[in-house]
Amino acid sequence: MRACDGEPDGGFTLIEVMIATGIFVFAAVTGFETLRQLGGAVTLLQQRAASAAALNTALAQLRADAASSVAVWTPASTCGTAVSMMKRTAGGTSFTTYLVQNGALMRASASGPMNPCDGTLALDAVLPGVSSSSVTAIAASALPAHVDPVSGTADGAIFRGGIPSVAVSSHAQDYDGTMIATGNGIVELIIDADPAEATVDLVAGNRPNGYTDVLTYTCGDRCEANQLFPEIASLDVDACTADAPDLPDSSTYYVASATAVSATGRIVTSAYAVHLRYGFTFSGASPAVTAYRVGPAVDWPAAANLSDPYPVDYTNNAVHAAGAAALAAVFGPPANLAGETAVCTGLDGESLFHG
Amino acid sequence: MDEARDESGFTLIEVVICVALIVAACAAGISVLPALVRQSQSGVMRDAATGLARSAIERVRAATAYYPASGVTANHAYALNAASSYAAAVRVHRGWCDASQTTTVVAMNVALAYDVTADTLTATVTYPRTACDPSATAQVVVSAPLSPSALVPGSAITTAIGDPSQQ
Repeated sequence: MRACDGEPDGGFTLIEVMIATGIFVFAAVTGFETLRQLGGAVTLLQQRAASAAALNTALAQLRADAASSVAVWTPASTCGTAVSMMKRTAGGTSFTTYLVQNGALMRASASGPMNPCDGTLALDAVLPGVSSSSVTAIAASALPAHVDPVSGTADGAIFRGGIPSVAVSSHAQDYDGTMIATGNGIVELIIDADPAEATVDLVAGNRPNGYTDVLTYTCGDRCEANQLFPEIASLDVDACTADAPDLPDSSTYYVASATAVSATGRIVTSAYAVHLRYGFTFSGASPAVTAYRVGPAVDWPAAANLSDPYPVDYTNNAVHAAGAAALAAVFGPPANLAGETAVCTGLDGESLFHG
Repeated sequence: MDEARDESGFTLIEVVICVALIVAACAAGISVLPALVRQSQSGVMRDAATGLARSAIERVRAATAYYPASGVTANHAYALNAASSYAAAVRVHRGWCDASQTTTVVAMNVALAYDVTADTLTATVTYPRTACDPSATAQVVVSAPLSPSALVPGSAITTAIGDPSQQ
């Protein structure tokens, strides 16, 4: 368009248009690349944040489940990594199993032990994108020599030597019939997932108090102590046994029967009596359940007290109950064993344990 | 309508300045990216370091679970040394330092300190803020008591494990 006043035409020359076009093209390409990078970076950050949040949530759930469990163990599994936990609450006994299947960490809950290979398990996805996983049971005695799984360096220098591995029966069987043990062992679970590989050490938070009574779980806020396994309350006993087993680090079978005053004025136990352990199996329980309780060995001579049922191993800073052999040497076989075995059949769980 | 209207439009220099401003704004946006990425990495590093601390504490809790808090010592010095440290590491994904990398191993240091008086374990993990620059570090500190209520011993064992010279 030309002006009407005779001024020269103000339009662009060809070279100007070419320069301007070049600049615009350069700016457009630069801008597009910038936006593409920004979009990609934002997407990556969003994915990384979501993955990190999912991983943290999964680890928190694992730790929370372990903290409220009385036993954490690695069930026999041919279907990938699996960790099982048993909980006892006022509502009864329940089980939780974590397993890695099809590249995801899954969680299943049931009232009984679960076979990780059971295709009918109701699985909830906890964490997707698991590229690999492994689980290892670590005995407490092995902690001083424990090795960080990634760095490969020993990480147990905080521990003194001689830590005992304490296994306490949970009085429940796993799906394959093996007795579930609890105690101070660790289950170390390694999950390789985006954005990082995570190692989580799982310890049963509600431990049975091995020093007082293996039947009494001394619990935190999520567990009511002394609750009978509800699944056996109405069942009949179909067999029972009695013995005085060697249960390390438990005072269940030893009770203070006499006290004395030490030279420094402390009241100390001077003698112990021995109790029998009675084991009861119940008809109709599935899976089979054996429950135990402890009673006095009344037919043993009252004078036959064991003076030192807990020999202290000061070298290893450990305490172990005197074993069955030591008991037999002092007491001989309990005279009332046969009688106790005969009378228990026919009782039911409620009368036995809540009497 | 053609007498008073200014039809000169933008000059080339104006357009060039405008484009330059837009390019500068985009460049500023790009410059923020590394900071965002570092922030994202720092969060993952912090989470990993916290996980290392928690695992260390869980191991100690397990080891001390069946050491009674005896009437003599009322702590877990039977099982624990006062302090220790070790080199740990975590494995992260997604090409943190190099787009071609799929996995990066990041070294961290874990220091454990056991307070006998408070019967408390403190885990201090020193970690790099980003996977690619170990010089810029930060710390995560996690403390936990070691004597939950579940570990109260029975009276019989209390008298049995104490130092005989104290009885």
